[in-house]
Amino acid sequence: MIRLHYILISIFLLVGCSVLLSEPPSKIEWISIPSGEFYPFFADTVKPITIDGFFISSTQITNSQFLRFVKSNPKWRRSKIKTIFAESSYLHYWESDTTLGINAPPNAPVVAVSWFAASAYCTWVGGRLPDMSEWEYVASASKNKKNAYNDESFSSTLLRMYEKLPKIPLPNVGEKFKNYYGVYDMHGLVWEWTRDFNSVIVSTDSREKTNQDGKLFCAAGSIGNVDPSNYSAFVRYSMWSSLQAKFCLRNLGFRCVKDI
Amino acid sequence: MCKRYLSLLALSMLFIFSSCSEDNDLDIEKFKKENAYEGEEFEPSEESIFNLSSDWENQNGDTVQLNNVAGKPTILAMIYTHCEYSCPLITADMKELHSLIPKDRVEEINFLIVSIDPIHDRPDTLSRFMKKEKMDEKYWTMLTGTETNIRELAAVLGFKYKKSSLMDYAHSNLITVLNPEGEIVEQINGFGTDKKKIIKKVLNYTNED
Repeated sequence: MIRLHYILISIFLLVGCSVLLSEPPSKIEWISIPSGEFYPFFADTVKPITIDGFFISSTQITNSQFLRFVKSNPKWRRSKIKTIFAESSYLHYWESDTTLGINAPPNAPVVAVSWFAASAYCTWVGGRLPDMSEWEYVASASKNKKNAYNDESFSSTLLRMYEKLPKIPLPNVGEKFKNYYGVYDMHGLVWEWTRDFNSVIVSTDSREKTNQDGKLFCAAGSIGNVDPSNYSAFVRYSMWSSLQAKFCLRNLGFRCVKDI
Repeated sequence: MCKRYLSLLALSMLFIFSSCSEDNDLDIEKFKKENAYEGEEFEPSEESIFNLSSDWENQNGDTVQLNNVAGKPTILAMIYTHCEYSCPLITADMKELHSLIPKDRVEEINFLIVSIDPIHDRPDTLSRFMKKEKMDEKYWTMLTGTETNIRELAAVLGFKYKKSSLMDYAHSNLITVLNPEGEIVEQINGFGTDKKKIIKKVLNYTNED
């Protein structure tokens, strides 16, 4: 009788352990970002805007973190997602709906996710996607400096990084560029979604009743540019302006923020 | 003996459950509420904007979802009410579209205006705006939502906007036509399109044909 108890207890312990082991550590580490001032790249004035404090995930969301999300939310699986929310390339490099496979290392950033899927993930973890101004605020930090966009060496480092972004299968998050705040990979791994990506470069000045196409000339987007020397920001804003919410690109991932 | 066995069982169960407790900080209830399609009788088509299950407030302060306009074609615009530049032109375009519907068919098309300014456009603001613009609640609905919900709808419609100052926004001039299933069937960008043609087209989408 007693032996039976021990057997049963050890079975329960084994089940408990296997539950623990089957879930890789995928908890999000939130980094606190203090409030401060920020000069947006595209602005109507050269006045800085105030950014309220917030929490940001220390790394981009990984394949294993996103896998947990699609496991508990079947409608965001590759075979279930509605076409209005994602292109057919959604999570195309995963082996299946709920298997990562060789092209999707668990700790590499999840990519080929639409804006809708990224937003839904962030809501699921109790957060949201960062606004562009928040993202840029964090991304302006170098290793040792809060705002390094004016450092020529920082800017040219970024541009060199942008030239050779890694390809699938991607390297792990959190191994390379760690900035002043302790946030990893704001540059050099994959591009990231922002909540208000669709606010960049309104095609023409909507306050005028004119023929729209007349203003769609090459480089029209650079008109609102406060600091023409900040070419790395120009690259990012151009990237955001070219996106549509259902796009799923192999070099576009995301991270989440939380309000304080 | 049996009791001891049960308490050990309880302990080991506790162990198992505690290993899942890292999910506790996830706002699952909120998420479920915002994404609750499963089990509901209404199942939108693949390309329907009714797949957005966000909650909105209408001009009367009622909480509604976008699928409230399902069943009829809908002409939809996004504006903010204190806008002095292009929104009055969009509003005028919408009203002109409404006036072009033959009298006997005026009930067959919904008109929906969604505010992009969640701070200044509250339900009472919307209600006053509708009175001022003489928009009959029988055909017209105005909605206000959260920043996130507005961004999401804008993303679906391909509508771009950004805050340009404390009170003002720069934005696309876009009127969207939805069929009764909530699929985008027509988008009018800018001003000066042939509105009679559009109404004729929209009437073809009504369920009565």
